[in-house]
Amino acid sequence: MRMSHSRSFLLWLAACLLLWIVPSAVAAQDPVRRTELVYGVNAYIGGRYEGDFYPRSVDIIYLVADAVSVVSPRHTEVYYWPITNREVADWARLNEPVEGVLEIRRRGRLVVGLEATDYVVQYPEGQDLSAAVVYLGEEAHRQWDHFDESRREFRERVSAYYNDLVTYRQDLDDRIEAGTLEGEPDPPPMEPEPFLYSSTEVNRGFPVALPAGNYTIQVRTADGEVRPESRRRLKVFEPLSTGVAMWAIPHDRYTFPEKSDDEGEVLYLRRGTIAYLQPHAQEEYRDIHLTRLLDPQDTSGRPDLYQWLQTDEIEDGVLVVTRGQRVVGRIERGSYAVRQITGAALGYEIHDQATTDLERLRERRPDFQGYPVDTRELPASFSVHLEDADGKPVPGSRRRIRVVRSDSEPWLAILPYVPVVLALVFAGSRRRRFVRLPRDQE
Amino acid sequence: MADAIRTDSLTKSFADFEAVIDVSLRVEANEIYGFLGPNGAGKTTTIMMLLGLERPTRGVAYLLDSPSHAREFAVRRRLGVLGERQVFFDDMTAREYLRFFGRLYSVDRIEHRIDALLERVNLTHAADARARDFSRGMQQKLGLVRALLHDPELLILDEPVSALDPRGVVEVRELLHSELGRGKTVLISSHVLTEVEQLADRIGIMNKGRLMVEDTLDNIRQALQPEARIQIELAEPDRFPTAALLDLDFVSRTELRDGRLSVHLMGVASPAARADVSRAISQHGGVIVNMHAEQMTLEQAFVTITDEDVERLAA
Amino acid sequence: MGFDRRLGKGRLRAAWLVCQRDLRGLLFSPGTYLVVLLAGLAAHLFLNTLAQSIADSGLAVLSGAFNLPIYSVLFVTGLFLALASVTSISREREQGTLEVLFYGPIDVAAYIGGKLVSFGLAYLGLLALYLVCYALFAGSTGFAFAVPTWAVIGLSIPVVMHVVALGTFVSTATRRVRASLAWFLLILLVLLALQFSPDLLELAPVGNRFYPPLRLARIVLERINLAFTWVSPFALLIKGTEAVRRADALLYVYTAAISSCSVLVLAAGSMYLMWKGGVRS
Repeated sequence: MRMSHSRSFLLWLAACLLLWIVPSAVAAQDPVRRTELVYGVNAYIGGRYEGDFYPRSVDIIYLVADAVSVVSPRHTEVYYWPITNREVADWARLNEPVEGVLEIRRRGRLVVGLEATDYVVQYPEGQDLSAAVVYLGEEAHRQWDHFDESRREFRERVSAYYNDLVTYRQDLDDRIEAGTLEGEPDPPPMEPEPFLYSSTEVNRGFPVALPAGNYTIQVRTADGEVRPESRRRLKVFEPLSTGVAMWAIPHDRYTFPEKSDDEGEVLYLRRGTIAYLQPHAQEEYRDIHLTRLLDPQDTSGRPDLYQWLQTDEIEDGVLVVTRGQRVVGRIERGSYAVRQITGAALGYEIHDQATTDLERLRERRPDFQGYPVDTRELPASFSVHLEDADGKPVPGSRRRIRVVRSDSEPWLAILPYVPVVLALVFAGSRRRRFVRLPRDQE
Repeated sequence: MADAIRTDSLTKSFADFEAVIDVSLRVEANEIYGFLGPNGAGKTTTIMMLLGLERPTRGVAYLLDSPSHAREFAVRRRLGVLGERQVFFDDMTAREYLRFFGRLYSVDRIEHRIDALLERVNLTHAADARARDFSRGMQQKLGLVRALLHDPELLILDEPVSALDPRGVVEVRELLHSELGRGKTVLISSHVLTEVEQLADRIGIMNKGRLMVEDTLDNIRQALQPEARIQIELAEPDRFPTAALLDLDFVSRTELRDGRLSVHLMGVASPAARADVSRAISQHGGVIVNMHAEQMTLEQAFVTITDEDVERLAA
Repeated sequence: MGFDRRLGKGRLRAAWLVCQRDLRGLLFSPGTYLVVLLAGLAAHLFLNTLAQSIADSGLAVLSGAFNLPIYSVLFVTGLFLALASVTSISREREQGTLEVLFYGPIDVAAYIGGKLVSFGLAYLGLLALYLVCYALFAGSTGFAFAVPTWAVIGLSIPVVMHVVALGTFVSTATRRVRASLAWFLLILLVLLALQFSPDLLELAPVGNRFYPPLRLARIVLERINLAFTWVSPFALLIKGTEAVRRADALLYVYTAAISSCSVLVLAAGSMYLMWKGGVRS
C-alpha cells in the first residue's frame, strides 16, 4: 500500500528531530580532544589589543586595517566546552608554534610573506587609560626589560613605603606612649602612585598590517610546502566613520550614566537636572566585523547593523551651547569628586573640586571630568557641541538637548479613545440613516 | 447587419475537461438571442469568455467588434451585464451601490437615472436600505437596474428572472420590453424557457460544451416537429366541406372528430398560415367559434432534442 | 482579462473609484478603529513610561521620544493593512463582487492600482491622525519630533506599502481567504525566520554549535539572508533605520527606492496573476 503524504511527512519530521536531538545527548559526554592547527591572534581594535582564538571551525579571521595585529599559528588541543558553548584550546597540554612563512594572498596573488618575530603589547598608562603600543623584534625585548625594570622599581617603592609606614606608626605610638606628642603629628609617608603600566610577555607571532580587503593566509614550511590546514580567509576592515560618544551623568544618579552615540540622538533632561557630559572619540564598524573580531565564535553579528566602538576620552576643548545659530553659553571642562551619601538617603553627591568646601574632596584625584550642563540656567531646547583648542567644532559632537516636564497633562490619557468614540458616533448616525425593510422583504 | 456578438471556434479547456468546445455563434445587432442549455452545458463559461473574464483556450470572442483580450474601456461602457449571482459591496445601500456603478460608467444625471429605474422595478422604497439585506428577488431586480443604468447598447443577461416572484417577473419583463423596444441587442441565458420564448428572436442551444443549434424558434420547431396542428371549433361542423382546405398547399390533411376540425399543417402554425386557414373556412361558409394552434413549445423542443435532432438541424 | 493599453482617463477614473470604495470600506471597518485604539494605547504607554523614566532618572538619551510609539504604530497599522490587503482580493473573488466589477469599464491595472492607492491613503490618514495626537503630547510635555523620527516616518510609507503589496500579491495568487491568510502568514514567518535565523540557530537544541549540519545550515542561511536583505520589508526597515541612525542619506534613499521598486514589482505581479487567472473564484 502506498504511504500517504502526511505519514511520510511525519516520518521525515521524526527523523529530523532525532538528528537534532542525538548530538545533544552526545554533547553531554566527556569532551573529545583533538589536535588542531589554530590561530592565536592579538587583534588591534580601537586603541587596545584583543586576544582571540580561532579554532579550525572558524575559517575567517577578522582584523582592523592599517594597524599592527599579531597572528600566531599554533598546534594545540581543542575541545568543545558546552557551558560556554565554545571550542576552547588546552594551551597547557600543547602549545607548539607552527614554523614557516605566513603567506598573505589576495585574489590568488602573494601580497606578502611574513617571518615570525617577537613582540610585546604594552599599555604605558594603564590598560583602560591609555592606548596600547606593540613593539616588535629587538625593541620588544628592550621594552619588556624596561617594563620589568619599572615593575621592580615599583615593588621597591611599595616596599620602602610600607617600611616607612611601619616606622612612622611605631614612632607615633612611641610618642603617644611617652606623652611627647604635641600638636599635629607629621604627615604619614606618601603612598606611591599606583603602577598602571602593563605589558604582555614577549611572544612570537606574525605582525600583520594590511589595507582593508579580503585575503587568504597560509603557512609555508621551510621545505616549501604549504600546510593545507593553515589556510584561512582573512577579512581586513576599517572603521566606516568616526564620531563622538557623549556620556551624560545626572547629578543625583552618578552610577546611572547614559550614552549618546550619534548626533541624531536627543538628550532629554528633567528640569533641574545637572548633566555632566563626557565626550569620547569613537569608531563605527559593521556589527558582524566587530562581533567576530571580539569573539570569533560569536555568530550573532549582522552584516546590516552597525556598532560604535568607543576609544579615548576627548580631554581638550570647550562645550558650546547654541540655540539655533546663536551661541548662548560656553562650558569649561571641570574635575569632579563623588561622595557617597550614607544613611537613609543613599546616593551620590557630585562636587566640583574647584569650588567645593570639602578640602578632602578638593585635593584628591578626580573621580571624573566633564562638562556640567545645568538645566536650571538654560532654555527648554538647545544644542551643545564641542569646540577644539583651535575653536573649530569637533565633528560628530553636536547633541540636541530638550528639558522636559515630567508630568504630562491628565487629559492626554483620553487621546487613544477619541477615534473610537468618533467611530461609534459616526456608525450610529449612519445606522440611523439606513431605511429598515419590512421583515417579509428581507 | 453587423454582428453584435461573434465567436469563432471558441474553446475552453480546464485540466480535466473541456467546458466549451468549438463554439461559433453570431448575434446580430438589435437582435434578442436566447442562450439555452442545461446546467453545466458551458453557457456561463461562454458568457465569461465573451466578457473577457475567462481566457479562451482557443478561438476569439468579439463583442461590438472588440476582441475580448483587448477590450477598450469605451466598448465596456456599451455593455450591460447581469450575472448569474447577485452580490453587493458590504455596507452599501442600493442607492450607493448604483451610484458607484453610475460613476464607473460615467452616467449623466446619475440620481435621476437611479430614481427612474428603481421606480420601474418597484424598489424606490428600498433605495436607502442596505442591498445585502434585500430578498433574492429584490437583489435580482437591483442587479438588473445596475446592468441597465448606463443605457447599454448590448445586454447580456444570465438568468434575469430566475429568483423573481410572478409579479417581479412581470415588472422585469415590462422593463426589458421597454428597453428592447429602444433598439438594444440582448443575449439572454435562462432556464425559464417560456420567458426566452416570449422574448427571443433566435435561439442557441448548448449541450456538453457544444453549441448544438442556433436558429429562429420557428425553424427549430419545424425541424424538430415537421407537422403543426390547428384545432378549430365550427358553428355547424357537419355541413362544412373539410376537403376544401386541402387546396391550401401547406395543409397535409384534415380530420373531423367529435365536432372539432383538426387541420394538419406542413411546417409551423405561423400567424400567416392561421390567417389563410381562417379565410378559406369563411370562403366555404364555415363559421369559426374557436381556433387555436397546437405546436411544440420551446420547453418541449428543449426537452425532446436528441443527438439525431441536432444532426438533422445541423444538416 | 482585457487590458486597455492606453492609460486614459477611464482607467484613472476606475482606479480612483476602486480606491474610494476601499477607503470607504476601511472607514466603516471596526478593525480600523480597533487598530487606532491599540496603536494609541501602545504609544501612550511608551510615552508615559518615558516621561516617568525621565522623572525618576533625570535624563534619557533617545534618537527621538516618539520613535518607539511610532514603531508600535507602524507595526500595528502595517500589520492591519497587510491583513486587510491579503484578504481583500480573495474575499472579493470569493464573494463574486470582483466579477461584477469587471463586467464594467475597469481592468486589472486600474483595480490593483486603485487598491494599493487606497491602502496607501489609509496609511497616510492614520499616520496623520497619530501625528496630531503626538503633537498634542509633544506640546504638553516638551518632547520633540527629532529629524530621525521624521525620516523613519517617511521610510515607513514605502515599507508599509511593500508589505501591503506583498499581501495584495498573495491575495491575487490565491482563490480563498483562508488560503490567502495562510500563505501570507507563512511568508511573513519565513521572512522573520530568515531575519532572525542566526539567533534562532543559537537557540537550536543542539549541544554543540559546531555540529556539522548546524554549521552548514548557518552558512546556507547566512547566504539566503544576505539575498533577502534586499527583498524582505523587515530587513529593509532595519536597514533604513540604521541608515537614519547613521545619517547615511544614500543608503536611506536606496532602501526607500528598493521598497518602492518592490511595490511596483509586486503590483505588476499581482496584475499579471489576475490577468492570467481571471477574476472568478
